[in-house]
Amino acid sequence: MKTHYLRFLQASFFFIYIGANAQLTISNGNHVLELSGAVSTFYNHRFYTDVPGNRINNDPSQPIDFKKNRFGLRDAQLQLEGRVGHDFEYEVQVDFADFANTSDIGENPGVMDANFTYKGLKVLEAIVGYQKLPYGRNSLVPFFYSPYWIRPELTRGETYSRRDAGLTLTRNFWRQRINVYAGAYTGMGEQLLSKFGGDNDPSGSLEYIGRVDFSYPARYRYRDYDITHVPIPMFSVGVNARTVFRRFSSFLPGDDYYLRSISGQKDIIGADASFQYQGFSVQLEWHQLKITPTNYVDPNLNTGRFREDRGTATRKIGDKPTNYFRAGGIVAQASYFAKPLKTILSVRFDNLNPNDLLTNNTEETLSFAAAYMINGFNAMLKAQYQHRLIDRKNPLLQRIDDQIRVGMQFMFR
Amino acid sequence: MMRLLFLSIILPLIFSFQKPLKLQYKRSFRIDIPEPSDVCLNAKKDGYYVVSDNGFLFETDLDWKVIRKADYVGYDFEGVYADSKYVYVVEERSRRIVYFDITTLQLIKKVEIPYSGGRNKGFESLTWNKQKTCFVSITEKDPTTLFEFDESFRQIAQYDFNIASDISAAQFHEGKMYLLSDEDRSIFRLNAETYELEKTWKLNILNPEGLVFGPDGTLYVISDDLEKVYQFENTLP
Repeated sequence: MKTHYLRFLQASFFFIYIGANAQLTISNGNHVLELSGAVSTFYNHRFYTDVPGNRINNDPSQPIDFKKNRFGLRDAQLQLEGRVGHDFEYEVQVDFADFANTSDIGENPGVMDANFTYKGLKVLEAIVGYQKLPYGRNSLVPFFYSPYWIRPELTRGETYSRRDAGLTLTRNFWRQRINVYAGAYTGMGEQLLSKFGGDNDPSGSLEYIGRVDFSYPARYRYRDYDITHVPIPMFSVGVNARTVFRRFSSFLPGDDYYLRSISGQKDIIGADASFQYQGFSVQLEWHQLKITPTNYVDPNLNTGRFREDRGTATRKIGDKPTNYFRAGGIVAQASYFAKPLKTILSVRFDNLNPNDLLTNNTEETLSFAAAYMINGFNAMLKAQYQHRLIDRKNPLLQRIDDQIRVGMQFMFR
Repeated sequence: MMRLLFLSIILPLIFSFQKPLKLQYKRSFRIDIPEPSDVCLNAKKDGYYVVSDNGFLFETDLDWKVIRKADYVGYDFEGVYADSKYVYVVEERSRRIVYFDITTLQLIKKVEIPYSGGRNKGFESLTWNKQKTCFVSITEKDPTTLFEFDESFRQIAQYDFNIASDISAAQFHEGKMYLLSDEDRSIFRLNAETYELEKTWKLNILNPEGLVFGPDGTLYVISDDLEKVYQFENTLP
């Protein structure tokens, strides 16, 4: 497998080399192909809290395990985007940095986009293939247009998938001020491309997602920062929902919160709002999950995987006899782009309650970010500091340490 | 040391709040053209040609009412210029100049103008430089480059540009070259021979994508996102 990746890498970087010396865009008049990509790398420093879980092998007699203090390659992306005639557009995007991740969690499988858009229907567009899901504004804003290194816990892909294979139908109204999305997907999310991906579970059901957003006084792109200092106040509000049922999941249910892939019924609703004016911008986002686990375990797997059963008929928590639980949280972000300094300054609050049947288990983080544009978003120095607003001795919490991440992104396009 | 650090961060922030001098518009009105991306005066000076991101070419009267629409639908029209024979339209993504007959608005031919930059960062403007008797087209950004073409759109020369974040339109008017920047919301006046910057005006318009001088020299700027025309009090001082 590694040999294949190596050959793919060699071929791809040869292609980049050719592109760097010749064409970024190739056209024969009918077919236009653009080659682009991005690299980002950072240094991460974590301020470790002195708790047993932070010591080597979780052993209190061992010293603190500083394994997260390191450089990291976040992105090594290559993107091919094109258009064929009037009716077809396509996009293939891969991240070589994620190909090295062979875990079965599958949060970042390496393939980011592999889809095409058919515009021949006239009344609406159809996006077919592996694609970013039209759910949640924060998720829809590309990472490279942000001063942050890490998305909020709520929206980074731990509570719901951000990409999947399927079909999206989309249409806009009133000169793109209203956008409507509806789609059906596998429900496996990014894990479709993990080593356990492929077939559906015995329910054979799909995940359905719908989103509507409204902007005024003009269309509002999925960007969070007012780089152009718009001269009139602009806002956008969106609502979205998704539902999926899985009899049992063949996947690990997630990295930290066991919410991403659930054996059972999972319904999510969310709302978001964005505002910008004269360099200032504000975003608010809210999501709530309702999860009704089946507690069925895949009989073909003997991996001892965790199945979400907290708060069910067979495993009650406290005095709450219920067959479901809720999870969710909010993200609030305020930013300013200082044009003379070519700098974005941003502060963000986010929280996530992964299970409402437990008390004192809400994760809360205050993040500060600054980004200096050497050449717009194409070359940008970024720094993010995350401060945990929680009791660091609380064993129910996953994220207890503050950390700072500093690095640079470079987009070639 | 701390004070110096404080001043170096805070002072530019304070100055960034100060509003620069802006060109004030007299009135604005909507036009029935989706996503207008550039405009030019026709050769008879009795109407305008307006192109749209959606690949449409429209002809309007001097009151900006649509009179005609070309049958041909392109990909991504971003620049337009007309003489007494043709309407020339820049198709940004496919790197082509599309010729339309001035009387029928029928497609006549297409000419390739190769450019290897980003797909959506290609030629964004088109005008005729009377001083140098050549077409001028400027790429939008990354990089912003001014290209000169002869009458058959063979490239004559190119000039690197660093005066703006992007360029969205160009017009030749009374011996000067005027450029419009969407991201900087500015109009630049250049020497038409040397392309040296002579003067800059700030605009208070969202997403300005085209500018044109009317028959009496009145300046109009069109906003793509708002699909509006802004008429200014006087011609540029």
